[in-house]
Amino acid sequence: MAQAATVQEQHGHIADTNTGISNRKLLMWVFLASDCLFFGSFIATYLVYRNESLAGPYPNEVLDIPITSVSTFVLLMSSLAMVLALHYAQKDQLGLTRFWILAVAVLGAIFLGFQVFEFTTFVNEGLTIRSNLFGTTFFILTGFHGLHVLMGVLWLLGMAFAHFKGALTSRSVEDLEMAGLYWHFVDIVWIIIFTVIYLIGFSDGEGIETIEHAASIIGG
Amino acid sequence: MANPISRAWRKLFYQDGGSYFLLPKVDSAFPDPPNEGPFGDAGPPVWHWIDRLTYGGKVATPFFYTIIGVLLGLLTLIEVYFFTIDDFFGSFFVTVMLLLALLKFVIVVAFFMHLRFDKNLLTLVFTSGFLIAILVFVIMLSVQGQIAPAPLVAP
Amino acid sequence: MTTIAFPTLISRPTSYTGLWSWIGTVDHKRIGTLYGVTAFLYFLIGGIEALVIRGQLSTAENDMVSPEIFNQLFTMHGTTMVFMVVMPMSAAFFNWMVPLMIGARDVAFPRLNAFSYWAFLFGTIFLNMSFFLGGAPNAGWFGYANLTGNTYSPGDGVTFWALGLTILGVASLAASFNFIVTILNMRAPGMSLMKMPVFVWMALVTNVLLALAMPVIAVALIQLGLDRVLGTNFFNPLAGGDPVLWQHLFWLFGHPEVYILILPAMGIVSETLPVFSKKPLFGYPAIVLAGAVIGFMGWFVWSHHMFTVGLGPAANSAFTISTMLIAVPTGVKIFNWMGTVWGGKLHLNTSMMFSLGFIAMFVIGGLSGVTHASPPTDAQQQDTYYIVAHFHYVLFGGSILGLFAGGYYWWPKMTGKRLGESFGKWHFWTMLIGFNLTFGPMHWLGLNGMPRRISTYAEGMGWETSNAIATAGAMLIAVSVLIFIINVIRTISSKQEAEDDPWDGRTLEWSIPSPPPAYNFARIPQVKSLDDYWYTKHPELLHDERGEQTESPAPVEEDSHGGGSIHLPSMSYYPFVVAIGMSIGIIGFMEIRVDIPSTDLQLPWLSVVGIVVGMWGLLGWIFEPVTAEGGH
Repeated sequence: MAQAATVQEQHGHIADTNTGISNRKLLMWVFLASDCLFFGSFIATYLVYRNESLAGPYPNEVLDIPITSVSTFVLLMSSLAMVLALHYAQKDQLGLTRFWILAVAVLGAIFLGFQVFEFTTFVNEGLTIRSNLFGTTFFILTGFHGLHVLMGVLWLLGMAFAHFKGALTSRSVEDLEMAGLYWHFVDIVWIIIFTVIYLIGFSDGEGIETIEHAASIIGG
Repeated sequence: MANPISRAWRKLFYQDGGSYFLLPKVDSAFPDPPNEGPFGDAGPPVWHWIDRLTYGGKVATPFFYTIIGVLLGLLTLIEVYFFTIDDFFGSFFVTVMLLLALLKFVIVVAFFMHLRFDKNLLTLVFTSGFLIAILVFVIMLSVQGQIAPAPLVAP
Repeated sequence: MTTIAFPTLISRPTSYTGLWSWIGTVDHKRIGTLYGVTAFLYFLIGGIEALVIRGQLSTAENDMVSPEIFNQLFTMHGTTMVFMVVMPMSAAFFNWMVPLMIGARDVAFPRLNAFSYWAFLFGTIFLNMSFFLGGAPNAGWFGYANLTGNTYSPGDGVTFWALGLTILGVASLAASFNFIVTILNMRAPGMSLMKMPVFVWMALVTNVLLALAMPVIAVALIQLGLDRVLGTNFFNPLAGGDPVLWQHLFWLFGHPEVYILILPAMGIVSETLPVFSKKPLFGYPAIVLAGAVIGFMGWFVWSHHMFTVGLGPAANSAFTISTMLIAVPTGVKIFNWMGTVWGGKLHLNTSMMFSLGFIAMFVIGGLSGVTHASPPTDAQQQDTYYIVAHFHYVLFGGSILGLFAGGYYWWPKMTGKRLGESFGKWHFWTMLIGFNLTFGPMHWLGLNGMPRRISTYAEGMGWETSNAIATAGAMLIAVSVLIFIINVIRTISSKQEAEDDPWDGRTLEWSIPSPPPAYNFARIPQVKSLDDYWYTKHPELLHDERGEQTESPAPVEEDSHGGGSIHLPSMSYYPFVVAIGMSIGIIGFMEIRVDIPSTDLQLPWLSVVGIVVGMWGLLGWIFEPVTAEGGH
């Protein structure tokens, strides 16, 4: 729906918006600001439940830092590919643009592959969304992030095949910019998730006893 | 307007000539002063270097983006390295990690998402969402006793 | 732009009348009307729920409805009034008035706007269908965990609630993005931010709050829904889950939500009071700043809903301070409105009466609100009828009266006919008296210890008289709403035609015909000052009220698009299709699943259907040009 053009864009005479920012770009940034609260809520939920799981497996038993570091690196590099794609699109270099867009989509797909591998490994080790608080919060948070990545990959593939069939126009460059903003946002969310859940939360273990847990809530 | 209180209120809140709210206008013929920014030459030189280099998107070349990408990769490596060395930072581990993550976050937002080169309004929009998220969730976590460990119950 | 042939199964709507033209409409005025009519219907439904509640409580040990039904009624009454009445009614005014007040021809994303409405409609229908499909939600409008878990709420009601509100959340988010962009980007030339009407300012603050608060409740509802449908542990104490987390997430959304409900009404009276006092708004910058400060500080007070949870003295003190502080900008607004009215030439018509009633009732509600900013006092008032009295004074005495003020004020602009004044006065006085009869005694009831949400009470508690009065007051409110309906019917069937500018208004919407043509402004206006239209009509006042003759109002410039016709976005069915797909996609998690082989997961196939429909609609939406070839 970010594709919805506006009354203004149809007509040059009022194309200049008050802020000098196109409507779609402003919409995208407002959406990203709003999405900060969305992922913020999930991350905060994860943090509230750190060290509170009453049954295994615990983070330090299942998390695999080397593999996740590689997938983090892949996602970071996809961001680099994205910004290069946009750069070449603005310079009207169609071939390079399409190459880098496909590179982004492939890297995103590789990241998703890592995530699928990670999820299946965890499930095989006995961690499901029902097994404990860690499983619940971890799978739902990273799962929603993965859904965002999936949508980004589909969006970019659609763009690579549809919009760039014809000549590159200023409008499709802006389409690509929207997709890019979204993609980078997905990337920065993963930057936070990687640090907070994997690196900081790695040592998290067994939850404290329920009674102490209750006492800490009461503030005793 | 005979009433003295009315007059006082008018001066305070009305938008008329005598109002305290009405700010004097700058003569439009007055030339724009050279703008050095609020901090002038204060601060570490590296900041100026970044500031000048990135102003207006002049440096936005594939080479520059690649440098940024390599930098991000290096920062990730550093993070993982810090993670592997046990207890090097002691209780500052979390702080250092969060600062590194924030640094990567800011680099991506500023250069890959072009906020540094774009209109300031977009920075305002995104920062307001991000800061409100950080503020409310930090408050929530501290209320829930997750930031400082909950005080131990006496044995 | 290269067009890509996309296999569309539905063609564009072409007719501008009839049912299909409403389903395909992207006109902000028609969407506003749809919002308004829907919200009013839900106002009646929520009102009937309230009447049954009052009927049950009219005497001691009454058995008009069972406790189970009673729980469903008060839950749905709260949910309906908050999410399906006040928010969409505000959205109706935003839709109608924001583009007109800023001199735009439509909102920034007309099809997204249509999508918001349809998603809202499907969400509300789904939520209300629960009455017939095994029982409505019955855990209270803020659905505290773990009462909402499968153990204590075994039926489907709470699942309906979680999924339905998620749909409403998506609708609100889409609408809020749209309005933020519209207000920031589409103002008429010359209308800087500090020359915008206050209503537009309040719309901006409200929508910023919506954009940032809705994701939080969406996450909480997703977690609740997953707990109920997939058996996750978010709020399950047996696995260590903390019900207090729900309270935090809910009130993190819930307190900004309070301002989302009241700020539009504040914006409305900031428009009506100057017009009917024939004075400029007193301290425009102060009132705008107060609104913005409320919008920011509203984020840091949520735990005052949780004083009795036991968060500890530090948290309680901090939230006490922030709660008392937020009364300051609210008070600033009250004084600004009083300053606006003071010394003015008052035109006491129905709209003005509702505006004045708003101020008085809102002050009472605000003052009782400050009393429970203090934790010890709050501990006495928590979950009693005192709280019920407080938030009805704010939401009914505040929001609803303010919205009625806006309704009477803008009715001539929307329909071209004025609402009857004598019926209006009857409406106002019966509503005001009925309202105070209903909710005034609840203060005493609450301080006497009557808890909220009880379905009945024993004799001899000393609560009978007050409850009887409250029930009588509720009847009077019903009568007043009836008077309003009669008034509307009489007005619609009358042959009168209102002037373009019946109230001698100050803002741009009065400069165009009533009702406005589809393109709103034949010429995009040029704005020189705050209340520009007023000073265009009364150039001599520019000197009087501003003290200095800055510049004479510019003559309207020749139409800048060189005599060509005005292009408007063409109608489209795709927003409707996407809204259906999205709603089905979310609803599908409800019940119907098939097992996925070799896992213990199940596939909600209805969701898959919804997602497919939604994706198809989205593709159609993307590839459909905004304006049809050779279109209007």
